[in-house]
Amino acid sequence: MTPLIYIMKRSFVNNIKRIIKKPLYLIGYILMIAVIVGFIIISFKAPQNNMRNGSLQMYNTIITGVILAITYFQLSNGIEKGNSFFRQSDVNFVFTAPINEKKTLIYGFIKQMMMIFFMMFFLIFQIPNLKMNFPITNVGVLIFVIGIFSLFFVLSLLSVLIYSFTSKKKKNREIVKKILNSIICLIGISFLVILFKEKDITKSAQVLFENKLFESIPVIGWFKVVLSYAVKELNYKFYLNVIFIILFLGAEIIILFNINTDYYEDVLLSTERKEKLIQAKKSGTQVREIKVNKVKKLKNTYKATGAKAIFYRHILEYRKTNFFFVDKSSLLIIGFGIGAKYIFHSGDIKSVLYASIYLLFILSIQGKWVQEMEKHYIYLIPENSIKKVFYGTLAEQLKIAIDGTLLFVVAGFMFKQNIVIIILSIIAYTTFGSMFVYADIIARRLFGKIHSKSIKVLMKMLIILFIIVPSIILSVVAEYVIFKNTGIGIYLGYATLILYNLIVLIIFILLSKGIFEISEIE
Amino acid sequence: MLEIKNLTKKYEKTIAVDNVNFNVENGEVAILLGPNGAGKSTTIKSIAGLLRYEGSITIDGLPNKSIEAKKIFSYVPEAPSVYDMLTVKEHLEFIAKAYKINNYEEKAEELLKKFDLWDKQDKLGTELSKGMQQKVSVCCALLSNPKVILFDEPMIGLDPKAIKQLKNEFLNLKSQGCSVVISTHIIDSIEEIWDKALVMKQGKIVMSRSRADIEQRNESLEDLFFEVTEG
Repeated sequence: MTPLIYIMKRSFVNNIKRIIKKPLYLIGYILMIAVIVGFIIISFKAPQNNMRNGSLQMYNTIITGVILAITYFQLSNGIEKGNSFFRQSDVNFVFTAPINEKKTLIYGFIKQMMMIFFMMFFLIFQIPNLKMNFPITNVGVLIFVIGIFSLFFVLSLLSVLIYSFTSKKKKNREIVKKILNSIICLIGISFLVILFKEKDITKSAQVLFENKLFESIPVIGWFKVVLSYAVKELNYKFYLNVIFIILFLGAEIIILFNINTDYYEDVLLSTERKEKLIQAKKSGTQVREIKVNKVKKLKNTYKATGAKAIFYRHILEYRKTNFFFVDKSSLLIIGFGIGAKYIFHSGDIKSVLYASIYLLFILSIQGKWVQEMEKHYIYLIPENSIKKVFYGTLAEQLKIAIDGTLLFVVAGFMFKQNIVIIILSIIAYTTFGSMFVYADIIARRLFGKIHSKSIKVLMKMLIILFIIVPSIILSVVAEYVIFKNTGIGIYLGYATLILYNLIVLIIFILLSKGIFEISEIE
Repeated sequence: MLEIKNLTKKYEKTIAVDNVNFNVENGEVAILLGPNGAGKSTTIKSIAGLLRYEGSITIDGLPNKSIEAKKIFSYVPEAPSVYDMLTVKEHLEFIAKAYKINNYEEKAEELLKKFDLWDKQDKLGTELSKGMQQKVSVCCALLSNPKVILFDEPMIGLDPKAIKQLKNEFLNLKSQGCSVVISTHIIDSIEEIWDKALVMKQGKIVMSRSRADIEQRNESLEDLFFEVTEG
């Protein structure tokens, strides 16, 4: 175990040294620790809320939903790709060294626990918020934090085990995947049935998750019961479920330790994947995983030359995996359109527009344009910058327009809006999308010289914020102040917003001139 | 012809390339040698127009970032960079259309066959091994019949047959009057090909020799390399 302890000790010491050497890092870390300690103190000192009667039920609903989501994603990932507690450097140096596999596994467990421990910091920020709304005691805070920590740990071991047992045969993997998906589908259908009856998203979730059936599902049920005791007095049921969890965890460790000792191969692929994700995160990009067997084989469709060929290539790429421009993100947007009715009880289609801008921003971070700029080809193509920018962003903007159409046709139907408002919403959404795409170009022009990737991303976000806020303010002023009594205030509000967006867009397009002369590949 | 005058590239306070000057004549193969971190890749990327820099870089007298210059030069990056969702064949088709190359099919077939990619032409970029991705990169760069071509560590990841084929291509390009720049730190790999050797260290060119110079003085490139880089 000595060499493994050495790795951990040295990594820790070197990390501290690195932080001390760079004052900015040091200030950042000190601030982070101060905030975390502050939140921990607040978590325990904050008065618990005993006032709301309905909040107990709400707490249980949220907890069950969170447990279900975490379990599904962890297991689904485990079946497909496995899980790994290791880094590529461990594979290269530790796996090949004369070190006992069991000791290596303990080392892996410690690393995994450390990783979950750091993840838990994000959870700490939620505790004062939870305490404000729910009657969580100080013991409850501990139950909550340790409970979530244990859930992640139990599931990460379980996903390694599931992968070990299912990776040998494709058929096994498919069966387990189908079982998992069927359970989730069943829960989803039950939810929809209740939703149509109750017509309220929160109430429907409460009715569904209050069902005693959930408590009888291993792991999910045990954690649901244990975490529910964060807001009430402990009794035998709590201890019983804690024992179940400990026994299950023990069984997992014994199986991994004694039966499944030849686990190196099982974690190899997932370690490589994890490494790619870490590297991509460091360089500010994303790993795009492609299921090769789901890619359609198409005949070539390059009908254009020069910069236009980039647009046709994007179309070809979309067609290979999607139904033209409609893909998973489009379905997410349609789902959002449907859900909007239940989320914004007293809202209108404009609430959907404002909320979708956020969704649009997230989706634009890894759009076709950003992907295109990661490769050298677009820089080298002998065409002028404006043409390359135009055709390099066109497919993405068409997709935004189509997604916007789907979203607002659905939302318009749900909010019973007239056709003009729907069309105006689609145009407004599309212009926002185009502005986000072009904001990346402006960020490259203005802040391209900055070396730090995270500062660049921050600057891009600030640019976006800087252009969105006036757009919304102007439209609100136009609708509710200037044209308040005209009877067509809402239309003029939209018109102001669209006009502003178009003016900004034209300026952005003009600023994209010569972008490849001043941009640097990353 | 490639002409580089006073090329300097800074990353904030670090000077990656420091006032570099050199020419590569038509039909000449220049090799950029140097230890890791010497500034070879930064120089190549600057020539390819992928980075901002100070100084002047011209290709056949044209600024390297101009459209006319881009029509006549190609670049093979160090890390193979292919489109995940395009097949091998579609990569060549894309380059042909983007560079407006007419009747490219015959040349594309010839290249794919030379680099053992003909039977893999329907494979997606994401399905290819690193070596195969590198071969696709090379084929894409050669398709446009460039007058100047830049290779950044081109041999890495290639199998022996592909290395041999690539060396033949260097000689072909040379015979066609193309200016070839190859960045590498493996001297043996390009021993029999080069005409001009430029050794970089800490962003500067610390030695420049033609093959004739070295032969005349009865020197060894490898010995000279260690002499100037370890001194």
